[in-house]
Amino acid sequence: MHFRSRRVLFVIIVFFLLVAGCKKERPSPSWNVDLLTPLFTDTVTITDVLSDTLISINPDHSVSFVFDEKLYDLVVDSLVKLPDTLFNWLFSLSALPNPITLQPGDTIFEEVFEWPLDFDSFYLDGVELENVLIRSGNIKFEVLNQSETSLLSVFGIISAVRNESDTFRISEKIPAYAFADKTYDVSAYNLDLTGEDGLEYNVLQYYLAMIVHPDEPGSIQINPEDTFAINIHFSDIVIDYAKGYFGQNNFNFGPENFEVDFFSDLNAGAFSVENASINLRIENNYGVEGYYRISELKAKNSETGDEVPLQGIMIDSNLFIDRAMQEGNGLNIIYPNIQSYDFSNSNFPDMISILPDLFTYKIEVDMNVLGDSTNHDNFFYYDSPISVFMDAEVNQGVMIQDMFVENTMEWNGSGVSFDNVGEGQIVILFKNGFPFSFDVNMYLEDENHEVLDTLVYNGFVEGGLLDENNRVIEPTDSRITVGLDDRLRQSIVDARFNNYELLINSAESKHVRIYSDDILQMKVIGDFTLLVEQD
Amino acid sequence: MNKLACILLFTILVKFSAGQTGFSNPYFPSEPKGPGEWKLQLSGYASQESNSNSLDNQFFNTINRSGFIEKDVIETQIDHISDKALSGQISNLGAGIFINSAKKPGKIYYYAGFDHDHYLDTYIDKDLVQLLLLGNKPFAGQTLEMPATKYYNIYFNQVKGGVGFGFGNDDARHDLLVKVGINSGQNYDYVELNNSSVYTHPEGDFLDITANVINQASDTVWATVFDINGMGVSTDISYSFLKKENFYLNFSTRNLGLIFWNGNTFSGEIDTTFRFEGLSNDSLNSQNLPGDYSYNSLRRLLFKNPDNATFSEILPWSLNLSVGKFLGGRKFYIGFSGNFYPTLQANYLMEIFATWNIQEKVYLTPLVKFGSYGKLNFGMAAGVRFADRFRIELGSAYLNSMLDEHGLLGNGGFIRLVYTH
Repeated sequence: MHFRSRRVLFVIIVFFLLVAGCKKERPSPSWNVDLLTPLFTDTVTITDVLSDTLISINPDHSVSFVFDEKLYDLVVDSLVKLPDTLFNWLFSLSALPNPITLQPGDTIFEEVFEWPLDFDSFYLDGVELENVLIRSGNIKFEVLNQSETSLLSVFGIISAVRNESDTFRISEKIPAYAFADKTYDVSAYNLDLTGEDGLEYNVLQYYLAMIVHPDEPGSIQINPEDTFAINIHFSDIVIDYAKGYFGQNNFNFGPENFEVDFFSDLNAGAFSVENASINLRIENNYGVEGYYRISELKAKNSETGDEVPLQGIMIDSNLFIDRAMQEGNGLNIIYPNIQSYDFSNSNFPDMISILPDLFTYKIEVDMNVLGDSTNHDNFFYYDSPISVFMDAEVNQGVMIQDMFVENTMEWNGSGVSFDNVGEGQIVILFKNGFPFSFDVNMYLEDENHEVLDTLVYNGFVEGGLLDENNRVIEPTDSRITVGLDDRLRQSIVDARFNNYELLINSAESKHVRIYSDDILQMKVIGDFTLLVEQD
Repeated sequence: MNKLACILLFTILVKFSAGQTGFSNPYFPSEPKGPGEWKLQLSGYASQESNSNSLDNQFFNTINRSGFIEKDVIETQIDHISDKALSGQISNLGAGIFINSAKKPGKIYYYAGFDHDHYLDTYIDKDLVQLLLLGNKPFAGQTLEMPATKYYNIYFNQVKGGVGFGFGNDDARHDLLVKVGINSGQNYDYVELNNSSVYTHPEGDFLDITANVINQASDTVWATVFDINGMGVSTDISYSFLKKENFYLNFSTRNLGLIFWNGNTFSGEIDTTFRFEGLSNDSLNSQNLPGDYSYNSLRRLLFKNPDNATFSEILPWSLNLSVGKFLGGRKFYIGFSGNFYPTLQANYLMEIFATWNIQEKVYLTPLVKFGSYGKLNFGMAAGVRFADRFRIELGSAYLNSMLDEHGLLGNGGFIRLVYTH
């Protein structure tokens, strides 16, 4: 290449290297801005504060504290029981003039007979059962063989059928001069108690036979002094279904205790109401009418020992509960009879003011007070008892003191970056539309619920402004400022849970009215410098 | 050394747009020699010009250095803004070669070259500048109004080929030059705000935002000079007339064309009024938080249903006029040069100048520049011939403002190297 050409090339190359080297990429300056902006917001509703098992929301959005507890299930076993003893039978051969010789397999005696259940001895008057389905239980079969030969004892209940064709029948070898004691499961057997002609009550049909055991080696001899004793009885019988007439009997239930967790769930230091509607609701699934008398209902606080009995005109009154109806026989299709009794004019507010954890009651029941009004059509199902509920609803204002609520919310700050955030603070704004004030502690926790940092400690959130009816008309703002230090920055990123503790008190210590559209809005407001980097 | 060279270059550079048309040098239009007297001309050039009616040099220099902008610089800057900040930057870089036909000297000549262009054109409401630079806290309890803001930023590269036709005689010569360019789009970002506002609650409880925003971008990721996010075509047309030692006229258009942007494009438009009270807890759990607070992340947060379809945009084309009169033979030349950019907010720049030709070796050109930014700037250009066939030209129209750190932004210069054989 000519020297001049090379020089030209050199100059051009230097020029472009120079220019290209100076060609700037897009500038990326940085600067600080002062931000004041909401970052996150969360809305807390009444069900976030109070468990929805404690309250109900009415059509007008008012919130009621609901106390709906089952007092008692009047199970069938308490109402009708089968007598334990079916029959006892002593069989003697003393009428024989001489010993007789029989071959193995020969029948000594065989009998089909009916025998009534002995309800009278069971202190149940007038019971006339047609049909019983056994849920569980046994028959005990005891035989005493006072002879010198082994016998085969056969016993059956012809009117006890399982699966529509499986008649109850058992046979046992009874050695010579031996006592046999056997137990047989009779679960799921359906007992027809109407006898052979279908017109009787409480009657079972039996089959009983004594046979020379076929395993005897040869002929045997039966002597006049030989005897056989047989005892048959039920044990641990639970009735699944019964139909018939249960008699006009009186039952007393209680005193019984039942625990209530409503107030422990409430976890309040004090709780009082202005008024309450209280109903005693009885749901009768039995085909039996009757009178129910609550002779005592007492609230107890086992910690303080305080007791307040229920007072009112309903106490010791006869509450008539009509019978349920059923469809078919034993199909478990029931149309219960439900009746409610208003106890509102009672001292129930006083009862709950002691924050009871225990109620004690005594109830008396008179059955079939109308006689056999149903033509032997009383019935009950084990799984469908008579249930007694207390249904109390507090909707006229409630005063809560020091109610403690703790809850944990999920927290995911992994998307948050504080890399460019400088000095500043975050402000937690509580816009409280609840008629409660809150003392607040808030913690940030890791995935193992270990506390990483305390976000708020001993914060106070003022209750909403109340009108003359003690309903919130305007939310109040409470602000809690938290310095944005290094630990908090890291905790916000690392935290997986936000645990908060609230100590709730009625605003202005009044009986306040709560509405479901009362909300508490919680905002996290950032007030810090941010380094802006133009990338 | 390289850094030193950069500083030297870019502190004295001035825009010299007509320099790209090859032969034409508006300050002293004397090249090339007559028909048949040249075979080729190589030229390389770089120019950059930054202007603003509000931003000052200190602020611009900090940005350009990618430095940290101190609060007092920002506050001083904002004090300079009366209503809207009109600012822009035009950068061109390229090289080309003219080849004269050996068989028919002086009639038809050819051109081949490449260009890299960058146009930044912004027209920003003062309140938006305050919001961006100071944040919203200083304006708590107030509404920041943004009635009309536009931000336009485009980078593209061109490969050009052209044909020139010279006719006339040595005393009165005409030149018509047509170039066709294949455009490679690098970056394009356009933001327009109309009748938008931000109100900050005095204690930051909420922000009331009215946003009427249009945004188009070639890609959500910033592309380098070697990335291609779109393709297009354009043309440059130039006509010049030179009456020897008497008069010169050049009229040209540049970048008359468009680019189809087809990279990972982003088109979003919102017209909404809403109250921002923080990201809801639901959003928090569903990970809708941006991974960072970059421009792109916030853009994704703001525009809910962006479109990724391709779109086309015309280039920031320009009309250029340069006229002048020779005096004293070729000893002096006085003239006017003006550029009109129909698509930009800052749509014109013009200058008047007077050139002193010192024995065909050196010429000096004091010049005065005025444009859409509403201010006068003063500068100087110079050209030097050396080694018989080389010519280097450089200058700046902003010597006055570049020396005043707190003066309004006027910054830039040009350099051009020409070899004629």
